[in-house]
Amino acid sequence: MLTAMESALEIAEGASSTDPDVGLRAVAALRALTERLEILQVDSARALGWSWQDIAGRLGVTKQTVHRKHGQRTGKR
Amino acid sequence: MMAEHMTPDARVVAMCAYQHAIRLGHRYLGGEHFLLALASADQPAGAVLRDHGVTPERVEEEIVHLAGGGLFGGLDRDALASIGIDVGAVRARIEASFGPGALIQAGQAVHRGPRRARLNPRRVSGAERAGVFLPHGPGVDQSRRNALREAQARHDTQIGVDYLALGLLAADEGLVPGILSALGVSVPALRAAILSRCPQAR
Repeated sequence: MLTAMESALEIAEGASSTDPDVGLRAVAALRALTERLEILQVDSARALGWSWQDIAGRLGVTKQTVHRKHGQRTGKR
Repeated sequence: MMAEHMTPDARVVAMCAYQHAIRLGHRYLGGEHFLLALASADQPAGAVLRDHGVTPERVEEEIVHLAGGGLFGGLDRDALASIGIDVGAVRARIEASFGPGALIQAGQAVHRGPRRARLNPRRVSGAERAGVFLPHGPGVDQSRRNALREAQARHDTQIGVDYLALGLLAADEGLVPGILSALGVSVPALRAAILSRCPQAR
């Protein structure tokens, strides 16, 4: 496991790579990973009875955004 | 599979197989995707498979185990490694806290298209045209030849869902034999059950 400092340095290397091919691919892959983890965590939070309001607050988006994105999948309730 | 030789129901199964391959982030269409589509199909052959323990959940679990995919499938691991993210480590941590079941469930939500569309052959064929071409993996062409043989033996001109199932069971290439044996399924028993319960294959 990388320490926070090492990890931050590597992120700076990759995401700020001067080669756009490396840098852009890293950004796109990171976005894809974030999407997957969001699905997992939102579903889990809903299963534990969290409100859309609380989930949206933690994700830093509006309730409407999170509901529009995940509402159909996890059920309205 | 040659779409022109398949019944509309069989074409829907083929399209679902294609969608499963895309959803799992696989770059080929394999017999295992057909097995997953058949196990989920609202057809007699699908019911026979499920009755023998070949459920969509178990098949997907085996596919992800053998070929990768699911929640972390199709991610650009090299690109993530370049910014210090080890997908294997992330996966191990998530699996340790949520369990493999939650990963499969969330994996199924990734890339999930409109659910109704897959039941409508006219709409799914449009999706196929607009989609990506996937090369056939091992077992698919062999299964197709087997299915065609099953149809010809019964003087049928079209490959139906039952023939697809029989063709898939008879294949010895690809992941399907390994998946069925991992699920503890007897192929001869499954074949016999399809032959006796499915109207087309009698």
